[in-house]
Amino acid sequence: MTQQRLSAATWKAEIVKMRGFGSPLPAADEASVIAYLAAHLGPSVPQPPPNTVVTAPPVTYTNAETSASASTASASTTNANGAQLYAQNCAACHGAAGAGVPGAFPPLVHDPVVTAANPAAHISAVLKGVHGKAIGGKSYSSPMPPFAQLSDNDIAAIINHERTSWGNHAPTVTPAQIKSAR
Amino acid sequence: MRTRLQFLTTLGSTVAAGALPRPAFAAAGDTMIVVNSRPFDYETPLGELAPSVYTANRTFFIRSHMGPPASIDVHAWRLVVDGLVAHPLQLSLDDLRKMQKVEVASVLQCSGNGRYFFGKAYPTVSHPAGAQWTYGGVGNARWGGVRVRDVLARAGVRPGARFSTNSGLDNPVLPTTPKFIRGIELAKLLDPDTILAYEMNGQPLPYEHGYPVRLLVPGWAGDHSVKWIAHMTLAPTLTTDFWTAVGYRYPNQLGPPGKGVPPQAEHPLTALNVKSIITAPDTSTRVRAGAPNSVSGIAWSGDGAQVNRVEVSIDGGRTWRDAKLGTSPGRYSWRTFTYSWTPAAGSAIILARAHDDRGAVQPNVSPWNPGGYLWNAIQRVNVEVSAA
Repeated sequence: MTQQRLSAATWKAEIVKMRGFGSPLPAADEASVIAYLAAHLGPSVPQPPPNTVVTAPPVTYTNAETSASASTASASTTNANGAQLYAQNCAACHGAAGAGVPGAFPPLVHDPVVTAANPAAHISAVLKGVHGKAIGGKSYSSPMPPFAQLSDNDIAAIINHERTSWGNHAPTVTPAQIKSAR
Repeated sequence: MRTRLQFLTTLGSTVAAGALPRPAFAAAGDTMIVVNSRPFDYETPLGELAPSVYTANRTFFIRSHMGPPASIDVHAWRLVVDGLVAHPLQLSLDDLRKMQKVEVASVLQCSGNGRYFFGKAYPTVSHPAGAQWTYGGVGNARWGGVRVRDVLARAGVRPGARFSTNSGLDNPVLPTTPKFIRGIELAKLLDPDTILAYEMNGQPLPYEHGYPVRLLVPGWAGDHSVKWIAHMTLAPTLTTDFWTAVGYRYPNQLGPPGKGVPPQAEHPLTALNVKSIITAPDTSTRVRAGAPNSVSGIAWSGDGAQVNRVEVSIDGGRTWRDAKLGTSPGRYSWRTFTYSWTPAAGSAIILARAHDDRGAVQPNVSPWNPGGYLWNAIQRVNVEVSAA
């Protein structure tokens, strides 16, 4: 899929088809997914070279063994650090370096909420998501989903990574602050 | 809300329930190009496509819609033929083997082979969606089996039957995903070269290629050649199933590149078109000036048209010379071609252009279409020739 370079309209047609096929993507997330795909895998983004020859036998089926290792990976991520958690949960939209995608996803670098001394708005954004708010004077069509399913430790690690990376220097938070904000 | 990891794990365990076998292809050390990993689409590297007439079963390209069936009990397998027939049939593999066996040498090509190159040719618009095949979504094999017309003669085609709805043992992972069901004109099924194949290059049909039996519809896009076939229903009309009514269609009128076309303004894509592939040299080949060298490749057309001429250019299309064509084992097979040349130092731009016996010739660029089908443009291979 990452080899494809489609316009937003074509990505939308693909998403609509996949949801018809049974994809569990919630309708509310559709716009963000399309915006992400159009921004990262649009016609203007160079395609990777196609001829990656792999030597057989490649792994072609997900079997019981690989499912088990996926569960193990899931358990271990709770102990991962903020950078890893950010890469897994946030970087897809906000970028590995917090630069965002112009017109689609806001940057976190020098963002007033991320760099505010009072972290309440930052914690709320991660816990409850953000909808229809202008950020830095710009409005973004795609809503940010809530990440309340993550643990207090993980959310604190992500927030602290965002508050202390890419030139941001804001006070950090504790898991207890996340807990009380839920 | 589910995290991505949970979602993948859930999907994985659904797949795992069937305890799927590994594909039988590819002995250790064989190479294929992964286009998609789940379900798997593998293309054949250029080096495996030539110089032989037939492609090895091991490295023959694989296109999957749903992935192969979790398991196949060949003793329980039956081909059901019903609908507008006088005598509905349930044929076992032994029943088919007792019928007259025929062999057909035929290219099998994914309709989307070369889809990747639409993006290169039309870089500023949406690329056609789908698996980004380059060259190797094609192969040529000697298929053994029985004529569909012989089976239908046993069933007795009733008046009013004009189409067949065909499906195999493969099923989607999710119940809401449409099963791979394909409609086809009865007239094409009655062609003496359209067969129910149980052999591929003299071997039992490999698992991933449709064991125990697949349709083989020569000269038409590969999606007609339903794998693991189990059910053929004759009907007065073409099925409205997704993979016939929405997928695998070509615009009645080509529009501007990048613009979608609704399925109602499209028709089922059937015949392949004239095409050639240069299998050697490739851009990484070391070519020395002054030493005899050769350009080689394969060329084929669709719907029974046969390639009768391949021209080669080594100067980017300024001058063309006829290549030498290999013998053809049949009108649905590809032909090999070779062209001998002695390179001069500098850059060589090598092109090949195939013609068929109905007057069709490869274009410089294939027309953009939403499905990215039927790419058959002239291939360019840039080669640096080092001084002698």
